[in-house]
Amino acid sequence: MIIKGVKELAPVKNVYKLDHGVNLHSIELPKFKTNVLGFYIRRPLSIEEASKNALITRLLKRASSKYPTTMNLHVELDNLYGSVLMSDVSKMGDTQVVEFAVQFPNKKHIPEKDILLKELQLLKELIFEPLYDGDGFNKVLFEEEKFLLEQEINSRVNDKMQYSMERCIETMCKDESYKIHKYGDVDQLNKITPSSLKSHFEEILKTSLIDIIVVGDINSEDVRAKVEDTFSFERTDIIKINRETYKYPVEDVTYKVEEFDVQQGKLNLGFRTQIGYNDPLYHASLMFSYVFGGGANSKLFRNVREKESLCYYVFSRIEKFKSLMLVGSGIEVENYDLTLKLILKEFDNVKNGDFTEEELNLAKLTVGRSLRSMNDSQHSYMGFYFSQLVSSQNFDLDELINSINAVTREEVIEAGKYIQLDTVHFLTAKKEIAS
Amino acid sequence: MIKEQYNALLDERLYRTTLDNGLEIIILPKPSYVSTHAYFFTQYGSNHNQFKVGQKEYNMPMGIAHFLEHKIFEDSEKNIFEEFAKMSGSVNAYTNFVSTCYLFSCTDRPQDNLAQLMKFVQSPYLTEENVEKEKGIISQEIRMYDDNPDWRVYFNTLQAMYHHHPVKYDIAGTVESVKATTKEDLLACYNAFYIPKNMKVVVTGNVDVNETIETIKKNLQSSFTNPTEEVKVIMPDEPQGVSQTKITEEMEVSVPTFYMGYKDVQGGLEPKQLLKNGITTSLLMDVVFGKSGALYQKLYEKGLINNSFGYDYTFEKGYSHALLGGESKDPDAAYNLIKEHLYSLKDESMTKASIERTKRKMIGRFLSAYNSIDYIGKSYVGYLNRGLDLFDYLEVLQGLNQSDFEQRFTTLFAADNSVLSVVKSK
Repeated sequence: MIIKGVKELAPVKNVYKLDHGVNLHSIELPKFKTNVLGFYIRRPLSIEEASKNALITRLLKRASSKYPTTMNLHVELDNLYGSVLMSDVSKMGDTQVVEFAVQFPNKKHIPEKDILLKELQLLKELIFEPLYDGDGFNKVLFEEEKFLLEQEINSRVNDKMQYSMERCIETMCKDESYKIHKYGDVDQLNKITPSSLKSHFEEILKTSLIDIIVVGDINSEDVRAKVEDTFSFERTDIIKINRETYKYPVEDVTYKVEEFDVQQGKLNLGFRTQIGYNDPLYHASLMFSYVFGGGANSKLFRNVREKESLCYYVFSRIEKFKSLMLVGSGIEVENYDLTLKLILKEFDNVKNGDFTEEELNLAKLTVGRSLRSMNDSQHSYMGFYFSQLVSSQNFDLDELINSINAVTREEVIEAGKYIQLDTVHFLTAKKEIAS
Repeated sequence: MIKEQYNALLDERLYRTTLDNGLEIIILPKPSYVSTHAYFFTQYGSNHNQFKVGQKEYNMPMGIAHFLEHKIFEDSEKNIFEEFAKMSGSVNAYTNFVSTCYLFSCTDRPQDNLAQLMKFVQSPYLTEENVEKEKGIISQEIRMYDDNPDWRVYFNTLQAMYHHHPVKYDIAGTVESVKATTKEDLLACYNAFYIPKNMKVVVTGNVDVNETIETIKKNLQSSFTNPTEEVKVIMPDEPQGVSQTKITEEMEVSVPTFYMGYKDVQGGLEPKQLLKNGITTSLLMDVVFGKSGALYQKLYEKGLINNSFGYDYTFEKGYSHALLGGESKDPDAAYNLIKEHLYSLKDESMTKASIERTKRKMIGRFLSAYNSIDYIGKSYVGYLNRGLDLFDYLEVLQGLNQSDFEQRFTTLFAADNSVLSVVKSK
């Protein structure tokens, strides 16, 4: 009956160079019942490219020359024990990441013993043999996906919580590439043609850093042999992605109000921390944000929500690549002045060192718990691993936790000296028109 | 006595026991995981606003189960969130139609976190003042959902499907019903439903089975007893048909969102039948509405749905319904095409090949679900609420045959029990 707690074994990570700028990362984490296998292609975030890359992820998961219809492709995925195809773009600072991945059960739980090889072949088919006609992507699929991507870009407004934060960032970073949405914009989208997209796709396969990441109950040597047998690459010079600019001294705070037909106002604040992820004070800036608004023990939650009953949600978080500290909350529109005042009061409190050793300790425990629990999720672990690749860091989870635990109260106060409010954005209800 | 079950395909072991006071404990150890999750829940949710204790009848304000969930976190001296955080734990709670669940996740000291969970749920601390204070917070939670088109389109569907059943009302109630809630109301609900025989504990993750049971036993308070008088939930009679066939709400959205709901005619099934019916219907919906089917392709190619399209079958004791929908440029056109397709389809597309393929898919998805101890815990809470056996899923799935689907298709889709709910811009 007694089951001894076996302590977590650190994952075994192996990195192999496959070609110029193409690396295979094999991460052995045998406790999961599935494996994840993905291509991660890095591009500079630019308005000319963003919509093209987004459209490519949609076309690749629609069909290929071997599976010309959605039905054909999904029948195959069902037969591969409900393999899940994930294909989308995301934004990490000034990098736009093109993800193309599959998740599938481990062979030990299913009769199909060659599943890894079959999944590799499927990815090869989808990425390297798309459904082209002539010198471009298939026109019918292209038009369908273009229409839906335009619809998706427009429907950002449907989710007010996320949309209001995006608007705050766009306002704050109006002269920086970071303002670009991960899906680009409708103007750029409408300039794309099936053939311009095909050339672009061929270009990014040649010129981008490509990481192939495999996580799960795998044998690294076996993975390497199969990956090398399956893929071959045509490579040229690799496009360089510059480190984000993150030092922006603020002269005047920008205030922006936008009106919508809503019940609840969304108050978002954008701060510049001026502290980069490799700066010695980075972890102190992270702790600043946690003491300020990271979870139920933070100053914002305890005071603005619990004490003043002004909101249901209020939080602060750090954007690693651009060194932003973002605060969000949902409030009654008439409470704008009061809530803003209270949020800034708590900000000043942390800045002035008006927090206890206990509050800092709780913040460390909160971060430690969320980092350690990444060991228990394949997707979180991959996200953590890839974020480190993009920032050229090589912490393992324990090292990171240790370095966070070493942050002192004085360092948090020191970090606070650099953090400046840049933008206050309020998405509010339309004013009633007197009749 | 502790009952042990082993599932070979999952390679997992499950342990169950019921204490003398009726509190049931379910444990699924995952020794290779760092985290532990625990769920202490009562089978009391937003559907249970009307009830009797002995001869005394109560008619509570809407949203009271959810209000009570917020207030359980109150303590006379300590800050509950802080108590957990000190032990590398994070505490949370949720209320749905049929249950209220308190949970934590932790990466250290699982037994201490569990003791804390047991304690705070058994010791409510309500004052006039802290009840009043919570009203502002809950009102903002309601307002947040009021601006969420996915939430609105969902609740409107339920409102259209049901005449009287309380599932048609928002879980959190309304700003007005929250204002009307009193400390006495909250205590009456607590005393009626937070009792051992109505509650269960689910633990998954890095724990030892015996130690876990001991921790729970040690932390039972003397006040935690079953009442002498019987507690009985009163449910209104619900007619078979839908209340209204179409419901529309205007919000500031760029693309409309729609849901179709099929109110099910099944009802009063025994747990084993309920599970079989649930899995049959889920598989049926996968074959009919899934990406490998003809209907999805047709809708998608016409631009009538996008990647947000989804479908789900809800089966609870006493009510069940199938829902499908997502964003659409033209909800009415999507609705008509789906209805037409179902009408012409009858039960012919339930081919042997599509059934076998979908079974494979469901096995794979079931396996991947067992990666997540959070998913395991939450789905066990749902299963236990309905008296379902947790490891039966695969066996039932594999045993389904063609006639099961044909029958299900006819009962679910043939009777015209459907509604269309739309959220669109003004």
